[in-house]
Amino acid sequence: MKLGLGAAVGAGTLITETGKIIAAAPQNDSDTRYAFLVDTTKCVGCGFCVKACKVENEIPFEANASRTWVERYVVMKDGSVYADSPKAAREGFTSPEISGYVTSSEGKVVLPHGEHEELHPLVPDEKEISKSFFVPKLCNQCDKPACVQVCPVGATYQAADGVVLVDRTWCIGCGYCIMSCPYGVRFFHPVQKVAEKCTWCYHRITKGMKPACVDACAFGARDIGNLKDPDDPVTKIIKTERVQVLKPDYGTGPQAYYLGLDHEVR
Amino acid sequence: MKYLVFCDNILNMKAHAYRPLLVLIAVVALILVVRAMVISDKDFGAHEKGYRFGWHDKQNEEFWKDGFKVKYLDKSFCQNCHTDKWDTLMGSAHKNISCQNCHAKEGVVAADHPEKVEKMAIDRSRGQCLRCHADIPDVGSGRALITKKVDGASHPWPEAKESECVECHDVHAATFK
Repeated sequence: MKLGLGAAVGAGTLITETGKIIAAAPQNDSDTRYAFLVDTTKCVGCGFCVKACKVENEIPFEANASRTWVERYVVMKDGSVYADSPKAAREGFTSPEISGYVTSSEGKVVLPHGEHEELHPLVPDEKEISKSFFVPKLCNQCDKPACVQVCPVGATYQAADGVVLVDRTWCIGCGYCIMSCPYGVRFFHPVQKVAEKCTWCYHRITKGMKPACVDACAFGARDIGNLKDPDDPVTKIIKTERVQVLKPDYGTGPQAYYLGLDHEVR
Repeated sequence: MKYLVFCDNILNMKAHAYRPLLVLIAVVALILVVRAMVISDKDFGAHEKGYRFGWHDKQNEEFWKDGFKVKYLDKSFCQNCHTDKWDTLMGSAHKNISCQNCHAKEGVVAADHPEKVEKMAIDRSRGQCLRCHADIPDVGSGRALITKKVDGASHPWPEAKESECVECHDVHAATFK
């Protein structure tokens, strides 16, 4: 089906802040192109999305791997930024301590294996904090997925509705896709021993349900929609409000759109 | 001239030459017919997204559509039987929280309920409430809108930091018991 430029813009292509057109709804006969919307201003870092995802998609809860995760960013008034996501935030953020950072007795931030004798977990001085917020992350189901392009055996592919999937019977576990994903979404499945990734709960969305993380979020920070349906509430937000994508300069055409994204978020 | 000689050779081909040729053609045709019957267009091929991104075994899409059981269910699933709890929840500040966030531990899912009713474990741990109610820096995030914040290590007093929140609080009504 051929569309004119005007129709194509109306049917879900987007103009980014750099003026480039991201082909949000590629031209094929499928009437569906899923897109994800994350409102970071609503996220409270409870981690229920991670818990629900692990149950739904059979990723062992104790395994240090997850299809989705939540990052915490603490920006200090002096410009320094601390970020963490302990165990993918499967138990939420319940402590002001920022995991992965250690301070010496003089209060200087050092790496965990520094030579300082007395090391303490980093608890930023609340008066010095400029802002502190949470950002949920998941697969972007890119229009031009780098992970698919590097697969040497054709085990990973993009379905007509844009979702990138892995054929577990063909994956040889070379790990190229894990290295190529700019968003760090892919990992080895601890049980299946093949490359694993977020599928936006393909078994749910193809039945008309929402992904488990969307259902689990009590704050409405996550939602999914169909870019080819102009009446879809998510599509309306993406088309009329100021949304950003992660790492647009990589040219992967990510389709997880973020509201309220800070420039510190990578 | 050469072409005419070539045609002449084929037309005047001896039996010992064209019979194996016919057999060869028949074998190739048979292979093509069998291949078309066995390998459907649902198999490997460059599908909708082209050779670059869409090369795959079409049947694998069915695995991702139907190979997984839907386990995490929306709270409307619970509404049908637990009407009392539903009414309480809907009138409280916790009305947006999905039942299965607390009413399931690993390995036990709502989809098995009510057949495996005895396995429907409840996560009553203190950390479960602290996911939202821990007092951590939240300037500029949605967490700042949550009004009831506690220090998990000292609430309500330091000696009680191991006790479960539900001993004093009614979670469904979001009030004291």
